[in-house]
Amino acid sequence: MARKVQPAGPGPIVKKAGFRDIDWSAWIVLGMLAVILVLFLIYPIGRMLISSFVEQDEPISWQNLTLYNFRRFFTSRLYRDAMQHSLAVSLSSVLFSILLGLPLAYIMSRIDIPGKSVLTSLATLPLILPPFVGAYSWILLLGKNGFVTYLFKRYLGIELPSIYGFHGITIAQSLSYYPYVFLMVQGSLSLADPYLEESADVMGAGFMRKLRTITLPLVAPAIGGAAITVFMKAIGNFGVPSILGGEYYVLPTLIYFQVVGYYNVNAASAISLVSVLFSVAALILMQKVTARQAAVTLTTTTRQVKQITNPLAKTLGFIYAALVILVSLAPHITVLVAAFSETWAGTPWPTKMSLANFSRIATHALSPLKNSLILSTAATLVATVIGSLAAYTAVRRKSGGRWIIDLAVMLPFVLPGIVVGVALLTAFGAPPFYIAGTAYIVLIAYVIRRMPYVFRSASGALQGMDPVLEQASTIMGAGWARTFGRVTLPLIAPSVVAAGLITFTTLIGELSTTMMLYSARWKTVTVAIYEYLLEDLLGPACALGTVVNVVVLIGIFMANRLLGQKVSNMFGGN
Amino acid sequence: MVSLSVQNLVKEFAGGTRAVDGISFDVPAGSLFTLLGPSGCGKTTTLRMVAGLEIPTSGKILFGNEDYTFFPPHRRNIGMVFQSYALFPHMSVFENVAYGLRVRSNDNADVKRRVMEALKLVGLDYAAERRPSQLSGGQQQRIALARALVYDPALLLLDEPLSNLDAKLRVQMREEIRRIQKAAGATTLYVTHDQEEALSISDVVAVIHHGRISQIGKPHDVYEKPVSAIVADFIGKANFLKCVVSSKAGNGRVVKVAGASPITVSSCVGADADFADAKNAVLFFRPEKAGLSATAAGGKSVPCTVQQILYLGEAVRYTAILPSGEMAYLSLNRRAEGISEGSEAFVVLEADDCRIFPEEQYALVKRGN
Repeated sequence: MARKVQPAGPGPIVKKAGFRDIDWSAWIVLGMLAVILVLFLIYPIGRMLISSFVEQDEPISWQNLTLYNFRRFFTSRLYRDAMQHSLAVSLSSVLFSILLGLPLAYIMSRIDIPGKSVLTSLATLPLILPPFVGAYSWILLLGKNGFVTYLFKRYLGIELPSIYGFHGITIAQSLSYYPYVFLMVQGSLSLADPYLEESADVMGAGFMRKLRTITLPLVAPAIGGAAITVFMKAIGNFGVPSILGGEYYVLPTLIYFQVVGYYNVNAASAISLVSVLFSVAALILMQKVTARQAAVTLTTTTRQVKQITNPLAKTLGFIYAALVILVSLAPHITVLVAAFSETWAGTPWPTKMSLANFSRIATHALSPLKNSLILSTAATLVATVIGSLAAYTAVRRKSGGRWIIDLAVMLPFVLPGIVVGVALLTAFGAPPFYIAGTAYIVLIAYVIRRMPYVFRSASGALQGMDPVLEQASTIMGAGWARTFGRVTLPLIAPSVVAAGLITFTTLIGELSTTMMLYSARWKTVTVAIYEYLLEDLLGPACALGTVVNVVVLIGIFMANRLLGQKVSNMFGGN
Repeated sequence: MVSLSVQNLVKEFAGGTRAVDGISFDVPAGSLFTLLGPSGCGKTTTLRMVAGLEIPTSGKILFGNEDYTFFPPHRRNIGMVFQSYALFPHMSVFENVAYGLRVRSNDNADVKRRVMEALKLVGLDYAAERRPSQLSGGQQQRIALARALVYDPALLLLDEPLSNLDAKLRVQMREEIRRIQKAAGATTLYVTHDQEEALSISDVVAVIHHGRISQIGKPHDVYEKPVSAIVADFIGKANFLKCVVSSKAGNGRVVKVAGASPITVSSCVGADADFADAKNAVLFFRPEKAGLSATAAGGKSVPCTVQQILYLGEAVRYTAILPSGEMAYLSLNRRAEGISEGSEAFVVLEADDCRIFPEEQYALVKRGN
């Protein structure tokens, strides 16, 4: 590009469009994504698919193809139970998430209760904090020697059922996932045209009739979308059932059991495929639901819906909201308290507070913490760069090959973390690409799982940015590289950085994929917590969990400063 | 500054819609040329092809004698003001204006000097360190203009630059744009749907309908001598009356309007065959070019009933019903003596201020083209 000021007139301008004028970026990005898609998604999924039709330790060939691994869902009680358990806990988690989240959403958007913004932030916390960190504190609360169990026995004479199994998993998952229902329904309620409810009022509808005929039908698609989100999260969840399951197997824990117990990757592949079938079914259902959502009339007025100010409703509403939020935060509070207590078993309160747990993890858990930080940071950087380039290409360039991006973004949404682990293990645990046991395989897993989140955030930011700004830059003589660097990037940077921070926080608390892929050298902080739990060392596990939570909260706080209130939307929109 | 020549430009969008259907025009160096037409007529698409933001399906774009048709936009050395201004929100006013210079030069002192000159030209040198969001709409508009002119582009493109401003500011800013354009001597292509804006600011106006140019001419020619009923209808206010040609009168004709004595018209626009004796035609005149009188005048008046009188301050608008049932609107600069709502009166037409068009154009206008 000419560095000196061009005199007026066309004379000195180069006449033909040269190599450097052509925008190669779209093709480079598409090529890069195509490689990622083929190598790290299609190839592993394909390997997993084939492996599932072969018996353990048999080589892959036509003669060896068998339905044996799938037949076990009919012949083995363990398999059949795991599938039923998965469906049971996932559906019950959906049910209780709705029972908790729906009234909360209504209260927060329609009743004039005090401290709304604080309550909303607190209600979002269970989504932000890694669910399995909270899960093990249920043992401290409801376990055999738990605090709540003790209170019930001592003062009410009631023997609580064991926390391990169906109850425990349902409680822990519902209390972690109800914010999805709350956030999505609240969003829909606050967007619904206030005139609709008011016109029902004018026509003489009472409170219950209005709720039944206007309000609920309007938010029904949001409830449906949230229910499916919760279902997909729950059926893919490994952390909670692995801690609170005991002998109660679900599909993800059965996969883990097959891989770690027998190194039976073939069986794990078959179970993974069955689990993916449920996710795909849910996703198809989701698309049907969101397609209907488009028909809902959203308001164009900025007028707020009228709030209920009846003192009784306000009091009851506030009590309900505070209670739900307090209970859902109880495990996280417990983790914090347990982290600082030296002895706490069978007694209502910790008998001695100290930093003993922290000094213990300081000697053992420093290297996992360092590993987690390294892996998460590296994966976040890569995912952020690829995700935002993909978003830029998808939104701004109308070249062919859009399907490559769609597929690379869509597939990780369907695959539960543990399934990604199994797929990568089948693909890269054997030649020609033998990288199992290295840090790279963990990095690859992290990147492909999290890239879609950055993609969503960046494409949202790009869609909100007028392309005329980029055209203006081009008109003034800047090539695409300068335009991207000086105009596009600075404008979408806050969204991209925030998405990166959130990606980082979710990776620090990542357990399911890591469990399948980590090696002794690259043990992460979540694996270290898991190992403490296996040894019944709840104190150090809580101390380490607290460290993770603090890192996560710092990341979220920074993202919040960058984006304002939009962070909770980012979680709610998954 | 260079001249711009657009030759037979065509833009077909996916699905086969022809947004631009063979447009040709020349803009002499240093002059301001306006593309005027209703929304969707293809004027903005034409401008974007000149900018290089759209690639033409066929046709040529010449800067001077050089073919620029397929040249990438960042190599065209043009300045452009967008409808939404497209000021970079993350840069100061100074950096916005400096942007195009920095692409072309590394000399910081020179950049600074030229930015401040440009800001002075638009009268906003005091706002250099502000952000665009801290400026009013009119100020943003002037910054966008400074930003487009600062590097002496070969060509200045303005895409509906005033449409986001309120009416009063719009009038003020169009005078400002004309002043700055003349001071900079920039060859300018201007796109607008506002006919008053186009007439007041341009050296030459091209009226575009359905992707084609209906008329190119100086503003007063386009206004006073429209070449078709459609142009006449789009620019300014127009009255159309059905009539029948009765005889030739020099270059003009004598026509018969229902219920009136024959009227003489000096010019007819179209083929001679369209205006043969006894042919139907359409008589056109501007509301401010006709008079209203209580008494008939031979050869130039049509009887009417005054239906409504609206006092608008600078003018008085009369709505009159003619014997044919057609409405005529008159805009007089003072109230007509002795005429009130319901009065019987006469619309007075001067031969030089009337034109006749072929009959089939009447249907096009009535369809609301």
